[in-house]
Amino acid sequence: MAWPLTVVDQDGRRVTFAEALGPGGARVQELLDALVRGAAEAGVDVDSLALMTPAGTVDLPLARVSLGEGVEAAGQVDGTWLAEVDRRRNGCRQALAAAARDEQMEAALHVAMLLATERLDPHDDADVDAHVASGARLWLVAGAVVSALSGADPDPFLAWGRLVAAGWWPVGPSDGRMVLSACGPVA
Amino acid sequence: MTAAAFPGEVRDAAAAHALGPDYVRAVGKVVVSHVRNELAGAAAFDEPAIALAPGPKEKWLACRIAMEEYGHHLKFQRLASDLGLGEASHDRALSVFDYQLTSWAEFVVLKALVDLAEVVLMEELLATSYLPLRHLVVRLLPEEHFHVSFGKAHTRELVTDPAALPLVQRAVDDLVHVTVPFFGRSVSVNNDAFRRWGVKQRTNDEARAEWAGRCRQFVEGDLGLRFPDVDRHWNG
Repeated sequence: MAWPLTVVDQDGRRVTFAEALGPGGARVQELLDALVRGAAEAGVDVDSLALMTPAGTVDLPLARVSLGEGVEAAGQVDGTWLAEVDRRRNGCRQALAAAARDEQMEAALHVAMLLATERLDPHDDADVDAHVASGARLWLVAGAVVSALSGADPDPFLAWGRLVAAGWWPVGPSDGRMVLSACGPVA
Repeated sequence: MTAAAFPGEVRDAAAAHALGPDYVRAVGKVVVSHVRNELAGAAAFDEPAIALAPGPKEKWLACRIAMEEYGHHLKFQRLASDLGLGEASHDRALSVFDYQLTSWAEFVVLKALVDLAEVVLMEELLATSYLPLRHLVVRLLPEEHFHVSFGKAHTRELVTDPAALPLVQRAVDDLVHVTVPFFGRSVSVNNDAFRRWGVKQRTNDEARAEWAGRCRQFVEGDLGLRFPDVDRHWNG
């Protein structure tokens, strides 16, 4: 899929994807720009961003682990923390629905998933761990898109959206550590 | 013309149209059925499964699978558009997609058995006369195989708990029952046209029997459960 997108609006004008999405669209476009740049993106302060989770900043030692170790840690991730991430993610969706912006949300998610599904593709179709990591990162991208579009301030998914775009999988608090997995270069 | 009378390969949409509307109609019906089913499957089963997952790992796997199925829908839709068939997603999906998913156990059995039906249909398209469809299926089949192996692995895990056996058996019974019509009627004008034009090679009954045989092997051989009787003939 070609990026950046140009959209033809209802009046036949060519506008950017950000403009077509309306408020929050610029933040969505920034996120997707970063996703397309992938691991090549420089200047990402991984250590700081990893602690700024979608459920709030945590004060835990950071553990950078392999993909396999990340999947193992995902199985032990703090359930209360994950429920809070889910709650905030749903809150952003509900805010958009309440503002009658379902259509823009669906468009933003559609384009984001078109871009992300291929870029975060598990290179080996039989590799279960790679599928787990890819699914988690897609879920975070979707959360980051909805959060950005909703105009949430501060944006709970901003830090982890950047990490995912830069090729990382922030797993979550697990066994007293904040676990971050390197997924390798984003295709 | 019989099935054997069309040994050719059709390289693109223009060549399909050059063969005439009967060919376009035949290949179009097959493509559109996948457009519809991939979307219906993602919406009815894979997305709801994300919320039913018992833990984070299962949740992330369900996410990935949902996105892959949706991606398949879009890729088949592109093929339909190339053939000039327009938007196909609004057509009625098959009755199997009316199944109400209520548990993770049902979801994993569904991936093992119902996705295997999709695999059986796709495998046949590896020899289809319409090359864009053949090439697409070559790309998508590894993902479909992963979905089935995911379903089988998690179902095997479930049956290690004796308490889960009745739930798994019920899911098998229900899902086999609703998947039988997925292959179409025994007497099918559409299937006759598919074979006449080399879009497919098998009758609906042959495909149904192939699926039932592979399912039986898994359910009885791997799980040690009972596989319900499946009549290869089905006429609604």
